[in-house]
Amino acid sequence: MTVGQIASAQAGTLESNDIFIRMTAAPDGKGGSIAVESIVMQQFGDDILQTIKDCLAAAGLDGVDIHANDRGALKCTIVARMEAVAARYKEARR
Amino acid sequence: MLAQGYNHIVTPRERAAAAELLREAGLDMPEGIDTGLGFYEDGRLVGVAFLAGNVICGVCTSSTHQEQGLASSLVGRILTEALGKGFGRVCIFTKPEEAPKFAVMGFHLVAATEAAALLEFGSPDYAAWMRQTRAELAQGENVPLGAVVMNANPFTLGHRGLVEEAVRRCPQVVVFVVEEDASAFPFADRLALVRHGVSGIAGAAVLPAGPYMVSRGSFPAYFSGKAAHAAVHAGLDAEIFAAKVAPDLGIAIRFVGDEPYCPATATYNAVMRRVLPAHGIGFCEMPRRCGGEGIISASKVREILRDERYGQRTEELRQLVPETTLEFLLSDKGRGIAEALRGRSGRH
Repeated sequence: MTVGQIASAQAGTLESNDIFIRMTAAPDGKGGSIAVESIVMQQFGDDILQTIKDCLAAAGLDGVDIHANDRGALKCTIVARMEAVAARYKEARR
Repeated sequence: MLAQGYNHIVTPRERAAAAELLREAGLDMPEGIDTGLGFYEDGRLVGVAFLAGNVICGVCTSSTHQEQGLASSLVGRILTEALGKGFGRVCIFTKPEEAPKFAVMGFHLVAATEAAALLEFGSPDYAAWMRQTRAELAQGENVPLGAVVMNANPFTLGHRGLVEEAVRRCPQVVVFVVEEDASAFPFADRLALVRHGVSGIAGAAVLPAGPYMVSRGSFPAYFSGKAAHAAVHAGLDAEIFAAKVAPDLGIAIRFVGDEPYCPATATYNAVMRRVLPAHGIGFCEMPRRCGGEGIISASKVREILRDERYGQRTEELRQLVPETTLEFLLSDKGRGIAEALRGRSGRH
């Protein structure tokens, strides 16, 4: 899915125990940001952020804006959703 | 028919079943729907949610399926569909008691009244819009700020008179032009006509109204013309203005023209007269300017444009609109809009 000239992708759902992740190209393709909203932000916010960063690095992506809405997903779920959104983003970018 | 699971509401039979489910909950079928999603159980429709533009509405579950996460699930699915369509920001119009359920999904509350609530998801959100509007406004320190919100479909001498009167009472006035593209004149043209029309009035600035003033999210009935819904929607729109927009921008008073014709707008004015002062915001309703026969209104201008030979009625139009608007009406673009207007029914 591309909006205008900007590549974007999403994966996951907003159901309990899942995470919904959107990835869009950062303006100018530089920098990039990660925003996390979670119902367990206080306890696991840092862990979620680190998992997303690791997945980004594994996918070899930078210069993307990520917005994650977490509803208490396990780490394996977050990794799976990140793999899906990264693969979709790479397809959208082509 | 699908026995179990999610399915889009497409056929007349599916729509009828959805309307029936909404009716049982005391709701009407929402207007301007692009997508509808239903959940079936044992072949029976037990939950629905709709998308109109970027607004999720008509969320409803059967009395036998309450508190099972069905509404959240439907909203989540229709939300991801909307985001997939390319909307960066999606809002939901719902009853206030339903708001907490959507807040845990990541929706942020914009404002709520006793009858309705507006929440939003994604970006640009209210805070981003406010930052940008503040930057564009760049007002002087400690100068009282007045506001006018207008659709200007198209800009008339009545609109100009309202702004002139407003700056007479308040040294700085910001004119917000309704951004929703649901009127005969496209937003870009309406904005340009307002900018040209008020140029020369010292102290008046013109800005887009964004999605928080008279938009499909804040005030759906303004565009559908459903008088029965107008009071509820107007209440929410007035609440957003009085509790959020006005304090955040330092607006002390809102000016409006009185409304003898349109019931939805008249209701809006009546609601603002009650809600704005309750939040410490002034409200000033001024009589409409007269021109030609009776008072000036944009609907009169549109009525003339429906006449194929309106080009020969320039003297009549000159009583209603400034030269800048007249010039536009007689341009190729203006002729195109007039032609489209002839095939258009409804208020806008």
